[in-house]
Amino acid sequence: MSETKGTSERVIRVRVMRGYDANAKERIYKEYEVPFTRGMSVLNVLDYIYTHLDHSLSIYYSCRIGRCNACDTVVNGKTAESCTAPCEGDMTIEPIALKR
Amino acid sequence: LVEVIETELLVIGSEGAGASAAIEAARHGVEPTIVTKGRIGHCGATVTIDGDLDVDSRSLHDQFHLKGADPRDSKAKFFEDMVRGGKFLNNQRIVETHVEDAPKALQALIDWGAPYPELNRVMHASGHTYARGAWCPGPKITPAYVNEVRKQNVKVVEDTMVTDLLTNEGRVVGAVGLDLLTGAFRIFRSKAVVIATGGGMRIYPYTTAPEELSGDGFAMAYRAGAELINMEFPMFLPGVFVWPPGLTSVDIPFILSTAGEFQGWMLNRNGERFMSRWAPKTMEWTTRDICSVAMMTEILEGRGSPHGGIYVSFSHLPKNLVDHLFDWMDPEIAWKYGGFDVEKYVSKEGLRENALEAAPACHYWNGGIRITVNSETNVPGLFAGGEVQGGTMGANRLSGNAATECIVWGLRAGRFAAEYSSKAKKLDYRESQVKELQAKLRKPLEDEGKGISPVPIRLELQKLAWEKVGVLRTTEGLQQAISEIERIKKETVPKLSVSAGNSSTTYNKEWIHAIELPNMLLVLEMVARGALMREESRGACYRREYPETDYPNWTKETVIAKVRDQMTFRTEPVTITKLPPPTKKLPYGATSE
Repeated sequence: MSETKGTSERVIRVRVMRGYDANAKERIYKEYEVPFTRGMSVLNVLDYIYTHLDHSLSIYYSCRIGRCNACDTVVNGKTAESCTAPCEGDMTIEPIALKR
Repeated sequence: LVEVIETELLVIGSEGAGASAAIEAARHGVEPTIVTKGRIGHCGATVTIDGDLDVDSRSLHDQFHLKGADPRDSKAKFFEDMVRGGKFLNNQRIVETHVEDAPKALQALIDWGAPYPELNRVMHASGHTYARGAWCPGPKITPAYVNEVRKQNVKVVEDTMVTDLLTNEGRVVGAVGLDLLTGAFRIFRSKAVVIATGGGMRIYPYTTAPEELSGDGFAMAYRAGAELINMEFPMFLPGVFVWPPGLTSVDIPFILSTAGEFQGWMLNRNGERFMSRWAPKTMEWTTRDICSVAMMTEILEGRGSPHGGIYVSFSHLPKNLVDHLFDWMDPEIAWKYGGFDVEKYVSKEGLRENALEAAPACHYWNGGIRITVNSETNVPGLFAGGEVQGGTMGANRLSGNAATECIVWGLRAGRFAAEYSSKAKKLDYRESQVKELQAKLRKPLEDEGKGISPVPIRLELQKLAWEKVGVLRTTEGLQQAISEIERIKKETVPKLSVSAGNSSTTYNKEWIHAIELPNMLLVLEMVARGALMREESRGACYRREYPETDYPNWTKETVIAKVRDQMTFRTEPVTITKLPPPTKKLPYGATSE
């Protein structure tokens, strides 16, 4: 994916579920701060985190145009196709398997 | 302990070409195994097909009874359009077979359950004398071949990236790869292999291709001794968004594609409609290669838009026409493009007032693995089919012909590989080769935190590809690119590793990118060196210092082969069966004197 260019309007907080603590029976989340520009998709935000903040955040995606459904994820509790879903501000992102 | 998957025929790639190959092999009594980097039906380029599959219009009329088909067309006329469109660089024997088999490809899709009534529509794109595009958008045809693969009981190994082919006694005897979900090393032992991995478009930052098309098939074939041709001809589509970020690299066929009915005007930052300098008669309605070169000239010469594109304006149309522009277009290619609700990113009101920002994007790979009409490579046991093969499209592909190519040549590769497999003896793989490849694959993970992360290097490589080996090429730029590639190869590739703390074997993208990077670099080197050698401009390869098409001297295939671990280039005459090329140097884009 190409770089997101341009000046950002503000910084958003993105909570991403990174794992599950079996002993404590708790989901593990990590929070990231991402410069936000209107017109960014959820996938743009995740890709920004992978590219600039945390190379360990692996995102599963393929076509990036809403055709293949590989990048389905859960955004603020709702299933979304991350490549076509516009980012609207602070959000919590969880893997789709939890929803199913 | 490493799992060895035994099969009679290994097909690498699961979509249009790979699925067709496996289905056809199964029909010939051979048990194939598909291995795919993604999940069948949910990866690869086929699902992204915007519109049509080309078949000569006469067959569409006589055999398929499609509305809008024109019986005046013929296979011979389709052949001629392909060769002219390909600027006479096509292998004409392959083109003859392609036009002959095209109706079989459409019939196969219908037999597998593609929704026939939906297909009852024919598109007429530029470069085609007659309307030849049977309506076949990706999401409509994908379920058809997925069903047929299941029906034929083809084994499908998903989320597994094949990294290299195994060879023994001069033959291909299998492949190795990585299970991306578990990090497990996999060995495939097979009598024959079909490569159906598509193109290498991801070497560019702007591309309509899906994430996994990093040229792995080209790279593994090359390393196994297969020859490749015409790699300097990746094709560019004039018109993807470069802004807003959510639409970056998304194409806008309803505005800029030569298949579109309405055309935006392309303007530079001086407000000039610059196509007047390139195609004064047809303006934006010219072939995709010329449009792309014109756009990139503006961008690289500093007359582009703030986000690295040019402007596309509709202000020449009355506002009340712009309002209804999309009402009489198919919604799948307008505001609901792909899965997008485009209006969430670009407002219709804004379209009346403001220009969009667009740039060309890498869309398709004209060159590729060299095959015979029987889909064989020069390495026994190795076959290739679909976009990964070279020679079909020459220097430029006509709109709608990629879908035809993947089904026609997938089916053929499957058939001929099955015939080979049923006669061949199964050979063992060499344990030493497997050990070496396993070590190579694991190195970036084992060196965790000690080396260089592939993440910024991938971006650096894509930027280099875009600026120096992209749409517009200069001698100096290509030379700089080659020395930069050499530097990355020497200084960075041996040190690639995942970052500290990132040693997970469960879908570790940084690890995957470390494995893909050498493939991308190899493919970029092929494009750059091929382009530097070709001292002319033809189709998708534009050299600024050599702006004419040199038909007498350069109607030649560039052939790449690995000789004693060196990348070597030679030229060979193009296979001509029917249509002789022009005999004089002609201006870029012209095909007749």
